[in-house]
Amino acid sequence: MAKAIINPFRFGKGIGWMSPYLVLAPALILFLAFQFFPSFATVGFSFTDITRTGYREVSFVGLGNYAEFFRPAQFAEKWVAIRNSIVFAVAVVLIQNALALLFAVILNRAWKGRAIFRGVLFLPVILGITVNALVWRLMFNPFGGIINNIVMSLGGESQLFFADPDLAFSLIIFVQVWSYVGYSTVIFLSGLQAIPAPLYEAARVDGAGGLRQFWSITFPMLAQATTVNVLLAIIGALRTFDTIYVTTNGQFETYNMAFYMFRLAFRSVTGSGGGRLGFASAVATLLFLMIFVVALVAQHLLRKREVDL
Amino acid sequence: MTRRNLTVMLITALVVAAVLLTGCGGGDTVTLRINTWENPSTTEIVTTLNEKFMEEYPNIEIEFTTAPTAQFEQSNPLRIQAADVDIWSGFGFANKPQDFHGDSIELNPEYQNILAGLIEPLDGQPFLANYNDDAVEQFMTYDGSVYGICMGSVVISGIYWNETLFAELGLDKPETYDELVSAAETLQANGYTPFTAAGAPVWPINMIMHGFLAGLYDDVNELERSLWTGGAGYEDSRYIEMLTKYQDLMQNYYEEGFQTIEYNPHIGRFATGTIGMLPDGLWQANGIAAAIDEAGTDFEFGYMQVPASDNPADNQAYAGKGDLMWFVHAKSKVKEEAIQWLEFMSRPENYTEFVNAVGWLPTQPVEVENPILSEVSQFPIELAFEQVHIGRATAGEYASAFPQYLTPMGTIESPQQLAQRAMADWNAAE
Repeated sequence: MAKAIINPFRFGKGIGWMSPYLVLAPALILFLAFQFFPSFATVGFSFTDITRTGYREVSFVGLGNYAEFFRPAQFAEKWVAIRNSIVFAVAVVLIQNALALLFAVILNRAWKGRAIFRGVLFLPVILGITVNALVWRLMFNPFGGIINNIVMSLGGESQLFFADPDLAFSLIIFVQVWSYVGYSTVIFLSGLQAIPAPLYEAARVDGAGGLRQFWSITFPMLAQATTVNVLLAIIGALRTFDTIYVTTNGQFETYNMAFYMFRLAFRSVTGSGGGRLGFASAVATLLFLMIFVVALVAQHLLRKREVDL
Repeated sequence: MTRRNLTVMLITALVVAAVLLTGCGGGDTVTLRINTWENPSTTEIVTTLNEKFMEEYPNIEIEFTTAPTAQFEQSNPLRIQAADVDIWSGFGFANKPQDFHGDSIELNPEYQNILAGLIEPLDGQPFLANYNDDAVEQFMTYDGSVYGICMGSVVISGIYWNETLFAELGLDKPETYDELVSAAETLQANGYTPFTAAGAPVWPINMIMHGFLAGLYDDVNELERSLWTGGAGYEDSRYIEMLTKYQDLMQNYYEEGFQTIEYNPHIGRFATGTIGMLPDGLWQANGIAAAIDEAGTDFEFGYMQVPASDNPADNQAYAGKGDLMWFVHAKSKVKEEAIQWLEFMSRPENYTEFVNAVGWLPTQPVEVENPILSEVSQFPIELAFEQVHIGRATAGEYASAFPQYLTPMGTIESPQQLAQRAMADWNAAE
């Protein structure tokens, strides 16, 4: 006998129909209040000169904030933010997905201790980026940090790590990858486990080696998982703020667009107001457009690849 | 009614009851929310005084919150806007507009809050009589009205020095920049670290530049005027001299890795007795004394001006400011209780307890215990440049010309490059 499909919105009689709406309401209200409405408000604010303190009336400035962002005489620091965002996103997407694929392939094989490795790999995702960044900041501390102790015990010189302009940005990328590689691994792993075993058996019969099997079966069959992982990594990397805030606080020109936006919104200017929420909102809107366009192009290319395969 | 409908109604009733009960208070007790930045000695003494206050006023419960300076600067303005705080701290009034600033400036946030009607005026409150008239006038008054109680004034930019270590090495207190460098070299040659500093939060590094400026400029207002009237500004030879000398100290004599040291833990490093000098504010004096006791290193320390100039006569003045000032939110629902708290803090016995704990220069005529205060009191204290400066809100990142942008704190190699870039950002602002 076929199972009956229950439509929750046609549930029960009398006031029972309210049940699904009541269940959905808290999440929906929170989503509207803290995601949907602020996003639209940000776009609105970007056309005003609103500041953090509200002593004067807010004025409509049209596209003034956007024009200011692209004003050549003041563009140097914005270019640093844009450049860092791009470098950061490219590096994170490539390194994070390459490592995740490697870990997924390793975890897809049966070996002793696999469950422990999987748990350890996923642990940074559970801990969250702030905890990860704080832990790494302690580990990279030149005063008694474990990494510096190791470097020195191997005969190396004491390093400044996050306070070294040549190293700081690379280390931020490292912390970001460390924090999210477990998540990407799980997605690749689920993709790997969905590949039918007979494909590999047939390949072996045809004499294909391990590498050949990977390039001809595993990698193409992971197209969907790759799309998801690449898109998530791009979006996550472009909107990263917390890793930078905790590790370098933007020093040594390690800030990206998201951090730059935060600083505009909350920075105090000596003896003056600071906290330019209107201008920061314009930067936020530009950042949204940047993420939107990049994600759209990436999605188009990756979907096309999925179809081709 | 079906069982399912009954369940739905019961759940709804429970949710409504929970929401209603959450809103219920506990009798007549009111909560007074006080917010300030993190400073161990201030936090400790305010907590102690809060307990005394709550004993005297059992119907008032104090919710005292603190945050590291950077977070406080971000979160407190939002709490003020949302009327989520009854009393908060700022600094003694400064950055007052001058004629040459023109009309297009953006005011300091506390003045903005006053104009927005968010700070309760305190005119006519009897406890104001406990404070020195000049302190009330200079730090607490804006546009003819009193808006807060300033708990003390401080030197923001001096150098703690290990007198015992200096004596062991046959060194005198440096009176000029050359003598400072010479002392640093002697310390280094004998295996000691000349300077330590808290570079991680960045602002302590920028703060010390005011000590240099006090020695290099006869009046720092000259720099402010120069910036606002199209003068040389940061490209003035004296400003570049400040950057050059400060960078020299950071590059050659500061502790390796000082950029990663946090504020407050840094005094523990000075207390080890192996570091010659610590540039910092006067408010750390008691903390340093306590840290030395805790470390058992038992050495004498002193406090001196930053000897920025090569002429000792130029290095007499300290750079200072009015420190913590309490404000009452004009829209607070417990305004009366908030003013009671100000009155309590202003009582001479409580004020003395406070100012002795934090080690500031008093704004009330009381006797203060501080290991270095008598030393500091012999010299003039001038307003630091940050107290007269008004920044351009739309200016770019480098318009402050802070030393934080210079290597080894930042990425700009030379003071001339920084000065040039700073002026470009300053002039580009509308």
